[in-house]
Amino acid sequence: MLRKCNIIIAIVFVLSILVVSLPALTEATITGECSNCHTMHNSQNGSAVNASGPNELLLKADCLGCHAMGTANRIETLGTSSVPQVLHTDPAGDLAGGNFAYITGTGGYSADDTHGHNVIDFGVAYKEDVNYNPPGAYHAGQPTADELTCAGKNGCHGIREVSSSGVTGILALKGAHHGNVNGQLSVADTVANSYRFLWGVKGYEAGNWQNIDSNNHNEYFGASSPLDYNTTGCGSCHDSSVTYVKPNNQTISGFCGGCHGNFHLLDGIGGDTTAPFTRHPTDIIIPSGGEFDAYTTYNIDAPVARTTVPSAPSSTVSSGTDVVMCLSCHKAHATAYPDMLRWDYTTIVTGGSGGCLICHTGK
Amino acid sequence: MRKSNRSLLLVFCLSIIFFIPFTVKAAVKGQCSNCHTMHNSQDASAVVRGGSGVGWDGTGQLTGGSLSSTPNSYLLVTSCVGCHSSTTANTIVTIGANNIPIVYTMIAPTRPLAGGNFYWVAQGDDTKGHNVYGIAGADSNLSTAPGRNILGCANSCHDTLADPPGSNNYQRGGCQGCHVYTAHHDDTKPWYRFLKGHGQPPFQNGSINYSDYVTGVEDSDWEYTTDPSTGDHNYYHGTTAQYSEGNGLGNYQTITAFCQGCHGVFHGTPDVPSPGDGMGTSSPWIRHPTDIALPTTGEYAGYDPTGAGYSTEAPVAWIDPANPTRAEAIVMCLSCHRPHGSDQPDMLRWDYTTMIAGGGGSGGCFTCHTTKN
Repeated sequence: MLRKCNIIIAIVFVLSILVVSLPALTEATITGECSNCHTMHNSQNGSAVNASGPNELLLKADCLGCHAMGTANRIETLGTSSVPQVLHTDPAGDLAGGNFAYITGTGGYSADDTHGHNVIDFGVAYKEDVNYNPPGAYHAGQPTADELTCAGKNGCHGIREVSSSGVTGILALKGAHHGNVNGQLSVADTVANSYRFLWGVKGYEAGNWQNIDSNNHNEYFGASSPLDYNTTGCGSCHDSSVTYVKPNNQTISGFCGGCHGNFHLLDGIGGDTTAPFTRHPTDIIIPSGGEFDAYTTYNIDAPVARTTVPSAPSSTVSSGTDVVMCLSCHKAHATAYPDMLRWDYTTIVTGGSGGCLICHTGK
Repeated sequence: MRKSNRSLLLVFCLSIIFFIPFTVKAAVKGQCSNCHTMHNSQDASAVVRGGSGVGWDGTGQLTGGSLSSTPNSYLLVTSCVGCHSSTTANTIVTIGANNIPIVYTMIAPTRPLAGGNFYWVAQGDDTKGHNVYGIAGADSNLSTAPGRNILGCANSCHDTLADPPGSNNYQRGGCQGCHVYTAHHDDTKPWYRFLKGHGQPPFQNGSINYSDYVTGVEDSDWEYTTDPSTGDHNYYHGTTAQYSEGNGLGNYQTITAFCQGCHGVFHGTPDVPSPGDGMGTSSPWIRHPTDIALPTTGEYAGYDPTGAGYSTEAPVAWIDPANPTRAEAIVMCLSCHRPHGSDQPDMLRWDYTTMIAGGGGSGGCFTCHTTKN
């Protein structure tokens, strides 16, 4: 009897250790019924589940089909699965990455090509008309307005393999949803454990995909200097064999710099990390001892990046330590404002507040 | 009676307040995009304008020159010259809340600002202005600043303003040869019209905080409008202290000491540092004196520059620009010259050929020399 009890206690003990010590791997992976997202044969009750044909990975829909439903909910519920929406008309506001409705005009949203990334997944009607190549492209051959997709070799999310065998779309995210990790992502060597499936990008993911306030927001990873093409060459943005695009320094700004290299690489901002710059710098430490000292409470309208990936969001901004990044001024998907800015640039006037002046407090 | 006294006191205080010149906040205003471009990229086009001929047109748009894919330092949309130039005759360009002083109009200016206008030197008359890089080529008459004494400083800054930024002028050719440091967003910097020197030794750590800058009280619209009766004009700083080349600017912070940085032979004690240098120590002078008191006696008694008597044609400086008094009026370089340029040879404020002793004229030299006309 005593021996049985001991065994049971031991089992409970081991299980408790396992449950307590396991990282929250299972918390972030997609949950819910398989049928929320998959159809085995694209056939049900004599009808196709997806009228346009079966999808790869047995999915019922493509990226947009799940993540751009255009409903009034920024987080949709499929069965028990919560699905973040990047195109919606939710009056409560947008998720951290923005809302493609500002490109498509869905729900009467003020739409313009300048408001966001014109991914061709939305259709030719919403293709970028002015910028054929990515603004600030460091070299030719980067995804053009005809090619930009949500994911893959010509997109942002998932594996970005530049060779001819590189895939686009959902295939680039194979395995990511079911292996997803959220919270503190400080390794980022797979799509699943990368920030927002941006392969190679480190960061801290807020569980509800939102930047809510100074205490509840994503945490972005930054560096004290962008890489210098003159030093690291192609390795600034690629693996050694130039098979893949990899984010410079594994930062979110380095990720953006993969397409917008002239805006990010060291030689593009002036050659070093001290003023005067020739372009607005990113992945530099916000200088201390001047106007930036007054920006001390995290503002989701001008978020900063951190040089180490935190385990929880912090409401503090520290000049001399924290980092200015691309997303300090822009959103990644789309916004209500030209150039995908977080605010209306035309209303930023010296002596006012908000926008640029959140950091540039002396102006 | 007590009420009368209080009323008198109130009137007295108010009169002091309204007649004392005061510092107006001059930091630039308006939209960031008036002057800056974050990435030099907009609608698949560069934003920066470079080359000659850049200036504001009559609609508030930057025009001329050519678009450049090379971004500028400080994320500026154009150079100093480009921003402070106009393709029109207007010398203040208003864009939203921002008033931009124009020092170079590509058409003859209707109302030059206090510093003058580069229009005439840009037209090819080298005698009518400083030859500044981006506006005019090197002076065809002068190979170095008139009255220049090297004093151990052999680089080109003190020879010419026409050289581009380079290794021989600490990357500060052109406008920044005089306006060495600027502070468009910072009203706390006490530099009159951004006339700040390079520190000593030049451009070392801390040089930006060195005392070698001009002080004074800036007119809020750069003397686009003036009214001496209300005190509406610049108030320049002068001194009666004697100084020679060296640290006159750092020690006395006058506009004349600033000019002396390049034209040192024209000012200071005789034969210092070299024989033939200087203006002398007292009348009779060997060169027209500057940074000396405008005497209150003799012919000079006929010119009272305080109040409505101030002549914007022949202005004076003051020992205390915030509290100008007749006894402290100072003759300065700018009593006769415009620092940028004018429509007169030698950058004079008036036509020297019309200054006829005994000719019965007025103005110009005769503003001070009231009995020589």
